[in-house]
Amino acid sequence: MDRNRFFFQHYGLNERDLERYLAAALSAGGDYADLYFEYLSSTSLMVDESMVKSASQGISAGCGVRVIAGERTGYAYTDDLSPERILHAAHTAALIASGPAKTPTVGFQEKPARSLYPVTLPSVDAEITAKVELVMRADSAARAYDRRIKEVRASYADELRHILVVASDGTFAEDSQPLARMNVSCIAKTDASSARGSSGGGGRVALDFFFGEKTPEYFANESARQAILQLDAREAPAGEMEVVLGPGWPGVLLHEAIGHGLEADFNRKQTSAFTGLIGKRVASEKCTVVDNGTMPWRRGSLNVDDEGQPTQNTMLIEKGILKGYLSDKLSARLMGVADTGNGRRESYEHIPMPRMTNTYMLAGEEDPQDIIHSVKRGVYAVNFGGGQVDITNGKFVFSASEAYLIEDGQITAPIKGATLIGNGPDVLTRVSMVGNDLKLDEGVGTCGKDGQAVPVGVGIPTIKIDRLTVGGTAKKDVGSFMQ
Amino acid sequence: MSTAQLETGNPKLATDLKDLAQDIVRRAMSGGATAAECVIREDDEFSTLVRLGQVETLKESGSKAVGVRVFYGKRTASTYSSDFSRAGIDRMLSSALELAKITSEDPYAGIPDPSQFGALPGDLDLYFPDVYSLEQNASATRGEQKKPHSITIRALRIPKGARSMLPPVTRSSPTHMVS
Repeated sequence: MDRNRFFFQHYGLNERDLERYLAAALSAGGDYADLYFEYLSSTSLMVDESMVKSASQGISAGCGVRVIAGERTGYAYTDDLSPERILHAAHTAALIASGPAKTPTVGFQEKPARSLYPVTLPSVDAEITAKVELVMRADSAARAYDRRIKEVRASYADELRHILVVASDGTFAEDSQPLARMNVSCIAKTDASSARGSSGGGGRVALDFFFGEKTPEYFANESARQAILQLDAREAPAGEMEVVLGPGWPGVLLHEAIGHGLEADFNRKQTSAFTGLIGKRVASEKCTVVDNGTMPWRRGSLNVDDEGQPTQNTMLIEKGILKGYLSDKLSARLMGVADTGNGRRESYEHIPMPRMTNTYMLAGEEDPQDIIHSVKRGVYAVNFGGGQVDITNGKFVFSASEAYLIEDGQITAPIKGATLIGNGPDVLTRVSMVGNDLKLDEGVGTCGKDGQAVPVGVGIPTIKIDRLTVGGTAKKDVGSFMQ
Repeated sequence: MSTAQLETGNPKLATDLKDLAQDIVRRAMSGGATAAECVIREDDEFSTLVRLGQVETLKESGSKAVGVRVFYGKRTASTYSSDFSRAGIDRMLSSALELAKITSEDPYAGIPDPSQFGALPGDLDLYFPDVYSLEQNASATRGEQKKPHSITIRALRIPKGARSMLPPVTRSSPTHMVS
């Protein structure tokens, strides 16, 4: 098998060294120790006012050593990959334990390698002039879309991350993870108002993705379209009403309202609103939700997680019944459940924890048009800005960046300033229709938890939620206040 | 020109980093840059998380990074690296010089004249050498019965205090999240 052995080649490491470091990590006892080597190179470019205003490249490399003793974790890292510094980090992480030394498993075992993102030339190594062309094309396409587009900012960023994970349980896993993304944001202005639009996408893809599948013009037109649309948007209504979510990025609501609450660490500590609900109904029977780290080319996908465990397609909610949690090694061991390959970390400076990969709801059977037609008066939300959730009670808030009024089964006016307010364990029980149009987002999601950011994917078909609170900006009047 | 800002309790380290930063700026200038700026960062980190009265995680580490921003007239680019070897810094510098050639001229690009810098009336007294002395204290943290590190003691007090003041709070989850 063709294995790349990046760290063996570039840092002169060998298996004996790795065994020695793990032995040092377990020198004061503990149940488990692992080493995470990372080498990350990245590029970014930004066009503002039609000028390539900034260009940057960087390299960061390091090794993190973790020791687990019971529920306790000791962690230390170094950006110097010399044996002395790694041993020093190992002895520091060992301070969490206090007992006789443990011996790591002898001999590493490498699982068969997968290849979910087989790029031949990682974009980070591609010609910089081609990347400049992408951002300049995005800039001119957005400006050409409409005379009212006054400001355009286009950016491109890519990275290539090499990792090696070895552990005292014999784990040995390597991966090379490319990631690329474009983003275009526009401001449209008239004498009367101004509005913003934003669009972007990418994945674990090579540069040619942006010259074929999703071009700079595609993102630029979408961004400009949103900005122009918002110029004439009406104030959003307020109150409880029927809400239809469009396909794709609105799946971020699923990620926040449901996904985080199903991460095993919160359930192990019994701080999740979903604690103890396995086997119970948490959604309407139309809802089936998975977390799937195995989708080719996707932003949230990984061949192996940051603990060296292959990722998988994990059933979270099946026809409304809660089936399982997302776990890393620590939670899997302490809770006596299978490791789902969701142990992720932002970098070698961080301790892994259960994180999502690509989280989405499976397609249903309804025609999206029929879903819209079924609504007497409500909101159709097709794009979201930010959102957040309080894990302990499941309460979430989202702001819709593109939304429309539905009146008598027809999409009428665009609205601005709509926020959706609800409760995670509650919202999916009110899903009465699920469309046949499952779509994943374009590849823009970055999830933050405990200060660690990781790339993720989200997705959803068109769905109808029978009742959700819309925090609107329109003044109360009988017509726009539904009970 | 160098704008390396250093705040560290170790004068030897400060001198070494300052020398390195000045050397990087000199080399950028001799490589053709019309102006250059270097920033070097060296961090020491200690954190501990206490849940239900027990130390749950203990984290300790040091890291460093160097970054350079170069100008060719009104064009600019920046690069950074965590690799402080001669080869690593050479590569960082040459990438910055290469990259600056592809950026556009920006009439407002440039680094401020030193005369425009503000000045502090004196030392703000922000550095406390006693905060970071983990080695001996961390070993004491292993068993809670021994004398724990002062930061750990403070952390241990918070959840206990919170629990006694707010009886309904029986578990704490130190998390905030956005997407």
